[in-house]
Amino acid sequence: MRTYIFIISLFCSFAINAQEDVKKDSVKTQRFGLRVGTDISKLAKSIIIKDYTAFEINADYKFAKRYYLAGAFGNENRTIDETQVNYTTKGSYFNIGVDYNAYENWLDMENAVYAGLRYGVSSYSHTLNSYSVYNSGGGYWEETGIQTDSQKFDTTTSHWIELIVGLKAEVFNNLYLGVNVQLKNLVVNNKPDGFDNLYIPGFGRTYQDSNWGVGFGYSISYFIPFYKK
Amino acid sequence: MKKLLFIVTFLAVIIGCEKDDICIDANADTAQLVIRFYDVADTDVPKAVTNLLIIGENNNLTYGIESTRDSIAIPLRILENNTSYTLIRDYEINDNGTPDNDSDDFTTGNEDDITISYENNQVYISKACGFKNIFEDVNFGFTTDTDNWILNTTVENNTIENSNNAHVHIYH
Repeated sequence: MRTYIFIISLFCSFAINAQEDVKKDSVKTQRFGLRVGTDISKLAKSIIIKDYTAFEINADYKFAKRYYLAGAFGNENRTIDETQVNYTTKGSYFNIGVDYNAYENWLDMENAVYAGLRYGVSSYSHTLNSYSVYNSGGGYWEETGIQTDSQKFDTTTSHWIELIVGLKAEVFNNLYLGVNVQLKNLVVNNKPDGFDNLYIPGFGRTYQDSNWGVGFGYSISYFIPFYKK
Repeated sequence: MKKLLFIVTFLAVIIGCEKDDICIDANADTAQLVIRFYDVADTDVPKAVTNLLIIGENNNLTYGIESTRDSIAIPLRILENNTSYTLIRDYEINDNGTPDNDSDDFTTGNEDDITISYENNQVYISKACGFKNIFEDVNFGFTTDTDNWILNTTVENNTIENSNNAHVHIYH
């Protein structure tokens, strides 16, 4: 029920934009504490998609009325079959930063429409399972150009800055469901000798000649209250 | 805040839809061996080979059709460390005096065998283009017989990475 109120109120707030300024924070107690959860989209994809396993723990700690110290850590193991290359990337990552809750809660509700800035670090390695050699003259010698000898590349690291926006709604007592979208920009991207970082755990897929990446997540999390104020 | 939500989601969709799986890099293709023919008497002057026919060794298909030209580009095997071709100069089909009967036809021409040996080095280009084979430490030679039309050869470029310039010169 609270979720519905939250969603409805969200739509209302779109409509009554002008009135937002009028609202005043009433004198009400606020709970501070730690919210711990996991990305359920990663769990679901691990079950649905063959050759993909991932797990992520995310958490945020409310340290001021609207501010949270937020972060996540996890690992991913993914095999991707592109037209020309088939490779497996596995590694671990974390990100840490601050979230700002812009949502005006009614009464004692603790929902969030938030934006956050994170710094992410990933350490991972690629294994090239098979690849094609682009050889348009290969037909004459009946050489397909497909190579199957597997190559493992050295562990490498990438760093990025991430802008995250999302919603979190309390569906039961202290239990939250959330959805978020991330926009990321690589600041450090060490490429292995002889290959490229086509996929980066925690960052997602990369695009040629671009430092940008995108992601989305669905989270389920539990709030552990520490104190009230 | 709502604007930010919208902008970020919008940008995510734009970036996420970027297409980068079409190979448009012209230099991503494995290069073919480029041979230029020169006059043995005056080594700076290109000299065409008349009615040249090209056949790969142990290959049932003819690679180059009968034509007169002063340069050729031929594919090298990327799964082996050498490739051999037979170059036939003045190639002709002799109908043996019976133009209507193909069964007794025979070919004439001067056959010379060439062999290129090299090391294969496969380098990553991009996700869309895959890998490219670069031929390194190229050696080129021809088999001597009683009537070679090929008189001398030089390797001009011992790494075959693109087809912009000749890798081998043949003097005849």
